[in-house]
Amino acid sequence: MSETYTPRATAPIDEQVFIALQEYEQLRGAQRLTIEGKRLSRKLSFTDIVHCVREPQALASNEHLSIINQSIDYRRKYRFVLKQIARLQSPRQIAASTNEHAFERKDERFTLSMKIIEHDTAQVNMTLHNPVFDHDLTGGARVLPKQAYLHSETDDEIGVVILNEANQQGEFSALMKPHSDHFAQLTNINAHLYVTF
Amino acid sequence: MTEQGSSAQSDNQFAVNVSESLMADFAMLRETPFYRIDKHTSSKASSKGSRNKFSPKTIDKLAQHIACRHYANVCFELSHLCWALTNNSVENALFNYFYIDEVVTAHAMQAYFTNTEHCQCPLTQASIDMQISESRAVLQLTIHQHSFSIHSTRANLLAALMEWLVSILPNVFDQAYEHLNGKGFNGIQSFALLLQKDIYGYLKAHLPPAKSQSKFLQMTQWLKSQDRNDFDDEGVFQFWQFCAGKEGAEKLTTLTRDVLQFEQAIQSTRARSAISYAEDADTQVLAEEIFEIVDSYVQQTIDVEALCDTPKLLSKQQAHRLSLIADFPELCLRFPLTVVRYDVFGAVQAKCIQAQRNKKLDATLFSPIQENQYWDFVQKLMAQKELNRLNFYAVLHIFLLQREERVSTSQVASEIDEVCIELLAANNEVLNEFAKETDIAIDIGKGKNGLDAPQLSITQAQIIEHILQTPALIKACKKAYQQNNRQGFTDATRLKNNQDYVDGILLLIDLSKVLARFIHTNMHLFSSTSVLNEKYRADGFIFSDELRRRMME
Repeated sequence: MSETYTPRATAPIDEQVFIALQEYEQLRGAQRLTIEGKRLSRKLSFTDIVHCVREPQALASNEHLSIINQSIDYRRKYRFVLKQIARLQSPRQIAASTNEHAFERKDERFTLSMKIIEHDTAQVNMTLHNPVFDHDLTGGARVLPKQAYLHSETDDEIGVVILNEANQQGEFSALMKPHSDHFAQLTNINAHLYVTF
Repeated sequence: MTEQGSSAQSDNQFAVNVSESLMADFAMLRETPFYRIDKHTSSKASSKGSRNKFSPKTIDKLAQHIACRHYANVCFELSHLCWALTNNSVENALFNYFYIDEVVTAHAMQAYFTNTEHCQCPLTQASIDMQISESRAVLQLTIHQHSFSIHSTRANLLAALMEWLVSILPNVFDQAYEHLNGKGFNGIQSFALLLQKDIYGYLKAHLPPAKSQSKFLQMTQWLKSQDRNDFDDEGVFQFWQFCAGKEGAEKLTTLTRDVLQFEQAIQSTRARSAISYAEDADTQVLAEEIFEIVDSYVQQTIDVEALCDTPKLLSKQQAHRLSLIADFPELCLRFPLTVVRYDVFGAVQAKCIQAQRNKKLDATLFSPIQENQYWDFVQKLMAQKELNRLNFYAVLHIFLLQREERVSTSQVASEIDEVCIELLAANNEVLNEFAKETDIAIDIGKGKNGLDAPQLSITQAQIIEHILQTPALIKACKKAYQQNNRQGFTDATRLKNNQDYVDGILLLIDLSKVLARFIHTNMHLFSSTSVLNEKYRADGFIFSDELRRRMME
């Protein structure tokens, strides 16, 4: 290679070895800090984010999602992962005003509806009707997944709802509170929706 | 005393010239988990550490590459792997390989590229091929005249590098496709160069050498002013006194480590300096050289922290006491008093600093402490050898038990027999002792030519087998096990994975050897109570006085 990006060519080699030894010891020390249970500011690895997308119900995912929501960089990565593995997407819809909310979202490949439950007005039943998924990532047979997740993404927040197993009509549903963040996200027509499983 | 251990570690934090962000990167890499743990827990890895994607050794190696600025080659290698994954006619292969399939072990890499679909390359005159022989599996890439091979054992390191890059650089995946998809060797080169350039930029911000440089300069100048070429025990102690008020050099423990690293650096490069001062020295060649020098030191070290895990073969306190010897096994032979002072006065200074932080500093802390601290420390080192031996017995007992079960269920000879023989063969001391008790008179430690036996011949294995059956040994092992109630040695905490015991105990045997050599080499000093006590009184006076002056005035 004609160009190299290896610095410090000018310092004598003994000095360079000394610096390398010092830095190596400190980078190894990062381990001790975690062994001791004292953590440096928690950094999420890309793997953590991928796991968070793939398995939102896992214990760590909940905690990680709130960290992800605090950082543009993490959200960008989360979105990247969603785009890789989503089986179904519904891009944000063009809205007249930015605060518009809708109780129903129709797309070519599914309908999302929100219905207040009659006997319990504190609950909303969200249903995903007739979804048409992309083929299985690994090329496997098309069977309805046992577990599916509905991710919503707006400019400053990512949310995820864990869906119940599909009923016989192939509908996925989840219950939520009408004043919850989830509800606000999913009825926001500016949200980009993704389904993963 | 536990307080002593933790303060020495937090010490590390304050002497940092590596940025907190880069430190956090490495802490993050060490803790990166697998997606589904159960999928990855095969029989061999069903215990500690297996939930993590990257082995501690891998991350240490990556740290070494980074610290030595020796990353051009690994980038080049990773670029080739990415080329194979962006040109194999499988959609999204690059992302899936690292993050859905989580291919991070040699075995997984071999399996991945054994799938023909993953090796179909649509480019003309290019091929991706997994070549498997008995001893190794190599991914062979060919693009026109260029060919390159990646050994499957590199899987973990390359995946760790990728993980780090994805974390610190935006758009690595997009860049990879842009540079590599449908491209040949030029693409591989340009992507590798891009990675190098980005790492270079990142390290410039997060790994500034200035602090280490000024330390180096300080030591060089001091040696010059004293008309010395090297540090010795007295030199370290005097240099500490000289460094009063100098940032980063106040603590005896930190300063000692700095000096020892300085000695490593100047010794290893003395013979080479003629070459490296040459103005046109190729930076890549230089990085290679530095990497090798650092590697030679890393190979010597013994990871005492690992011995504090389960199975617990050392307490934190013991590990701390041995840490300097374990980190500088060769060099410490020349610095016996420094090792003693590091522990004895390091603890005193840590206590005073803690008191100062709590605003409870008073003069009594400085007045000469207990008598004979040097002697006590040396006694503890000697006792440690014996403790290590008891741990060895306890581990051996675990295997002997399994062997008994095997015999009673009349299974054929198994791995367990081999493990028992391997362990005993590694511990010459125990072997020789119990060899005396049998009727076989042979010097087990020597091979046919009187050299250290590199491999066991069948007869030697038979002799060891014979020794393993000596009642005295069996009894000693049983007793040691029963008296050990640490993690990994009680029925409730016993690990299923034998390999953890084997790895741990082999490391402990290495440690014992290093310790024995250290004590043996410095016996002239360590064997005399009066000499040590006198030294301690003299040093103690100087040390307390200096410390009081620094902290009280």
